[in-house]
Amino acid sequence: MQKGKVFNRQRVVDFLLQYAMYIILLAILVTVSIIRPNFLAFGNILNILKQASTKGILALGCAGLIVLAGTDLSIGRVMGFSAAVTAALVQSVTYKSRYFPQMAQDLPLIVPLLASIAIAVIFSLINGFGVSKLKMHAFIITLGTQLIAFGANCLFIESQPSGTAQALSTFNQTFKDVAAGDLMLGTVKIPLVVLYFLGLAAIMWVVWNKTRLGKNMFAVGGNEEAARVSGVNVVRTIMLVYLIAGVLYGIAGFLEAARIQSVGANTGLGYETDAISACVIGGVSFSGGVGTIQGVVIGAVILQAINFSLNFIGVNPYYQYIIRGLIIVLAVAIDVRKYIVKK
Amino acid sequence: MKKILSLLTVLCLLFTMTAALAENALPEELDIRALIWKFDDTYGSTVRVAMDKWAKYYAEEMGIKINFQMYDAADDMAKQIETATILTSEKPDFVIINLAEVTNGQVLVDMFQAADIPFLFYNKQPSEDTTKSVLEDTGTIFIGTLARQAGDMQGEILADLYAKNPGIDLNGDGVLSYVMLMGEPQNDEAIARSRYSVETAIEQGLKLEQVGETLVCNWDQAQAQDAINAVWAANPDGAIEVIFANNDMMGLGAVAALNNYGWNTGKEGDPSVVIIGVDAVDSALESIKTGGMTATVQQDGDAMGKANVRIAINGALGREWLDGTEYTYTDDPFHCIRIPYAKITEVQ
Repeated sequence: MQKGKVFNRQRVVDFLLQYAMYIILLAILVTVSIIRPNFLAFGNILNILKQASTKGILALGCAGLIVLAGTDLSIGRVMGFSAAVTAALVQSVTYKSRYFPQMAQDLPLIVPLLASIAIAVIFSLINGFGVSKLKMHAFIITLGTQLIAFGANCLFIESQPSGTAQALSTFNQTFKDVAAGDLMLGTVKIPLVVLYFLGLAAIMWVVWNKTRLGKNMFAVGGNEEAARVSGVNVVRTIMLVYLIAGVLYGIAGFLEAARIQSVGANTGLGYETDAISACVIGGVSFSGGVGTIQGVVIGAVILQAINFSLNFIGVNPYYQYIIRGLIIVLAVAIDVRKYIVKK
Repeated sequence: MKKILSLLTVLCLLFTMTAALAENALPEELDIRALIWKFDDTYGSTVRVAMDKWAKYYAEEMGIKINFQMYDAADDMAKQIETATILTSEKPDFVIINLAEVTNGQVLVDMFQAADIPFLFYNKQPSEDTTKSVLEDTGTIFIGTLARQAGDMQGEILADLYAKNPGIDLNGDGVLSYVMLMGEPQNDEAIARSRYSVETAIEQGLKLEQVGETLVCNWDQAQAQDAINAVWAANPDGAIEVIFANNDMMGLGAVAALNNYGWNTGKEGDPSVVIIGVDAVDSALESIKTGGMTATVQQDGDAMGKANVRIAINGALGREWLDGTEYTYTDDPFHCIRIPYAKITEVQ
């Protein structure tokens, strides 16, 4: 009897710890919808999902790196560079101050998409090489590539033939339709970007759960030495995880250019915070070896729901910073607790 | 005969020498450096590109070589001071200063005065309590705009729009509901634009009412887009009638957010609200043309860059600041010229 009670209490504590982030964040959302009942309108939910999509795709990429007990500070700037290259290649050919004046007709969209991915993959592979081969801490190497990507992006944006350093804008209609359009289901408009996000999440779920790479990734993240001894090619695993992250950042840059409709040197600033926060809120542990794709998706959505709702109820911007900061601190505190409990 | 010849030779020599001396009043080479507060600032970039252009132009016009080099402080005063330290040992002919921190002009002034290098300030005006020691006592010149003028013009544009078409008051209650997209919290330009756009509109007889809190979006398009996206959801379908943005990028963010709701798309029959920015960047002009943004205020980066270089050359040659130019001093107690803003409500 006594024993059963203790057992139950332990289970309740475990349960609370396991789902604490969701419980707290759901509580916030419920509070918001009590203050403003129209918050839970279908349109708003789609808006939140749309806003979460590009950052969610970034989070899908960096989640793998966090599982490897690493991190990625270069996400925002790398994505910004990718977005700038995309923007330059999809500008409307009737726009006078376009980046490539010699461009007389719209390129097939695959060109900017591949260019965007190529940019992000190059930086990601440099990161991967630094971590796997040079044994650098991910924090340091990605801090370096963050600066490099930013500098390269500024140079790129400033070499416009119009002699200005302005944001690249005015994109062709096909690009806007494909990357930022909607799918009409009867009268309901589903933003395509949400579908891309969910599609990529599904693919990543398969990679994480059904492939050798996925298993190896968790093994390396949990205990690199043990993984090496049991025959996992550690360098190859790390490089592949970074490669996948690069592809996802490139896709995100492509889609973000369409979402924000013009790309400047500042585009992407601070996105790594959102991507990493989404992972942490979604239960990807900074200690490595722990995390799920569904967690990352939910983390990304919840984070944007918070951002959206703070503006929705008109919270003073300075309090918004404080609230977001508290959420990150709380998420990590719980993450650490879980880790201790596991031990 | 021989004497006459030698006299002639001497005279000839003297003549060419004086001619050469007169030519030499211009040195062969000028070394001008510029300390920039932040390279990747949109408007600042326009000024930088212009300075490069005008340095080349004046070099050609005057037939001298101008070595012009700029340094990025990345919005960090400590870094700007480090760069200044290097400059004091390199002794350029002139330094153009765009302060990273407006309260910290004194540090740079002390360094350059000690090294006997002339300098000027542009864009960011040294803060009020340092005006006397940094601007008046040093005899330097400040080239700027009038921070409040951009805001004033935003307010005037709104008043003109309303006079022409009272229909911009969508619900017809005689009060325009507005949202303010602010740059940075402690930035003088952002504060002045946020304040005077509203005050001027009210002075001109409009009734305004703010919706929600001021949205601080750090001049950033994506942040403004996310903020407006949410604020519009809370106040939908024209409950917001006017959006003031401290810069065009945030204005464009607002357009992107509203497009999502089928507003300001520029398509026939789609509704729109008034969105007024500042800077007149190309993408904003394009947006005004296609029915996204309504108007903007031009901060003339090219004119600013031209003035900087022209006046720096005067300073480097030890001439009067405005020698040979068409600028006129303002009535400030220090040397100052202000490059005017311009309203843009229509783009062809």
